[in-house]
Amino acid sequence: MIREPARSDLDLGILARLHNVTKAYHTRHGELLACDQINLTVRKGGSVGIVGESGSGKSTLVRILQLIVRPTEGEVWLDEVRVSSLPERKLKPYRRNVQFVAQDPFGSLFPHMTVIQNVMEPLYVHGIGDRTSREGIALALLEQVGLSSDHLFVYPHEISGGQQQRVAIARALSLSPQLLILDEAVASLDVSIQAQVLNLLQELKKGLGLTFVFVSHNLAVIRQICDETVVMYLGRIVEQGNSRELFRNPSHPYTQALVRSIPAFTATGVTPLPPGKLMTGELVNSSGTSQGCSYYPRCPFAERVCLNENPELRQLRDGRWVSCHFAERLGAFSE
Amino acid sequence: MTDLLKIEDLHVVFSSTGTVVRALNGLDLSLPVGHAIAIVGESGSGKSTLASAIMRILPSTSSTSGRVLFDGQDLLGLPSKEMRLIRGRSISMIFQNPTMYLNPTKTVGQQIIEPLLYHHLATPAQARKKAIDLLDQVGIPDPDHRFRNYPFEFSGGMLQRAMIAMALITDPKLLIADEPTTALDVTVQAEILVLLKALRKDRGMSLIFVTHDLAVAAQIADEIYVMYGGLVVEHINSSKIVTERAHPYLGGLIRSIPRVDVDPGPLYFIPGQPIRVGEELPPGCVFAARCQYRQPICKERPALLPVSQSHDVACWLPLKEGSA
Repeated sequence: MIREPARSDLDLGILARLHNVTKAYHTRHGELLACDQINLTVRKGGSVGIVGESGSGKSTLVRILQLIVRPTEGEVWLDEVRVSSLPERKLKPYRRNVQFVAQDPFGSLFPHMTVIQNVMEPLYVHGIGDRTSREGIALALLEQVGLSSDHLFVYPHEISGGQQQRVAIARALSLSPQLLILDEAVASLDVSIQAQVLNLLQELKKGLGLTFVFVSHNLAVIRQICDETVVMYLGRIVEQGNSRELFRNPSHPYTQALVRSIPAFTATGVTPLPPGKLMTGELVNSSGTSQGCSYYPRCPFAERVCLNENPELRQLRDGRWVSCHFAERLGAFSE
Repeated sequence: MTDLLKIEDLHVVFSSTGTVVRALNGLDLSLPVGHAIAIVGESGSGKSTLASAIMRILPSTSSTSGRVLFDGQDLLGLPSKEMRLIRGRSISMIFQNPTMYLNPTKTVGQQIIEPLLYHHLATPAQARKKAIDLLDQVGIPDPDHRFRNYPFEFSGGMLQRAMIAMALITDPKLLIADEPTTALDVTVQAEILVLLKALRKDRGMSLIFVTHDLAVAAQIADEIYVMYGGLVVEHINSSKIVTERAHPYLGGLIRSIPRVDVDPGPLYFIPGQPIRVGEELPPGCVFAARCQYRQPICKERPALLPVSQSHDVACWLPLKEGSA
């Protein structure tokens, strides 16, 4: 197998880094580890996709990156600064660098403001420029996301969902953030509109060198726009690597189940429904209690060692990271 | 083959103070006994209205015309008393969000047996036995114990399985599933689809599967009806959906969905917006405003006409095989 040049050859540096990040919530049923010792590096100009089922901790992870949720343990680094140890009042300039686009565009826009006012608002909050210059920035951004001048002075409810999402993206870009986080940002859009927004994100990535973290349950969408994919299961990263490689040859049994479940078109038809059972049993949240692999209760390949020993996240020879005792055996092309 | 369900020229209009929304505008469809069809469309296309119109569970602000022939009987003409004997017995329905359709204060078991008791089809003891058998069939482990659980004790996927058990307990001839897997994780979705497919085959039951996801539709159904603007614009065998699709709308939809078997590049997209709810339909072809092949003739509404066996399309200039 020809090995691709290591990503670090093209590196512009590291933008954000999570180091051993753990977030525990205290519930009636004891401690719940939403994120369990997460290490994640986001490189400048990179695009990282995060997938996982509901409850896998992906939303908590991005909230930690957004500096909205503080980790219980571990460090958050943003552009060479350890922001996790800064007091709240000093975070504002860093928040400016990390912007967010939510799933529901209408719910996240200010309904009482026009489109252009929505885009100008973050500039006002951060005290950037005067009214005229703020208007100039907003106009340029709205043009960049493909909204015509007819849409500048209307209210969010007067435009379609796809257009609303463009406004939300323009607003997120208004502070020239280094990192854009998109949480299920195309999930509520119809497919013909979704395609336009995905193309826009690709253009912004190329044009502005934008770095983004994209959370989605739609694996085909992740593969479409993210260089790198992170698969989460019960608060832990179970597999991480180059998107195309990971989808072509998933190594962790959970990633395999995910990839085999994607309904998608091929040149001649549609992918078949997976034969037989993908997983055994049900989601069991054993995080924090069991010493074994958290996927053990559902894994069709589990052996005794999986019950007793939690597999470390380790790097395979093709550069990807997997936490499974049998990754080499399960990934057909890995060694 | 005989049709279990045949819909002719179905119109549904919602009217409230001053506004009129035409949700279905003369829809024709037929479902042969034992077949599965999928109704596919983007938001506002009328697909859920269609599902609810068959069940006659639309709100009172709507008026329905046309014919919905089920087993030769026009459901729209039935007195509501007789419709109640069909609903939940010969025709069952499952929905997108099972937590919203289950009563949180009653056990799952109590709710699963309710259709049997309502229709006087079994004694409570018989019903309980049948329910536990069914819970086992839909893949719920330890059904005896699960029967006594409350909905909050189930995961989303397990609740949808319980809903399926409830829908099947009266051995209906037709199951209508309205976006039943949309709220579920992708692995759970695949499992529910596999389950529905197997149950349908075992029971010879017919299925109407309503979804916005074209790939899911092609996985579960024999035939696909593509809706746009409250009309069927194409009806095609699901195995031919990629190779023989003829309507430019369906062609565009397929191309705008990200593929996982080719290198990612810019996606095709259909320009413009779908017709919004309440928007007046154009007098001509409903898709003309967004169609790249638009011609003067498209100012007239094309009828849904056969191009080959069980393949109909409403377009003056249908796409050729292999073209985009």
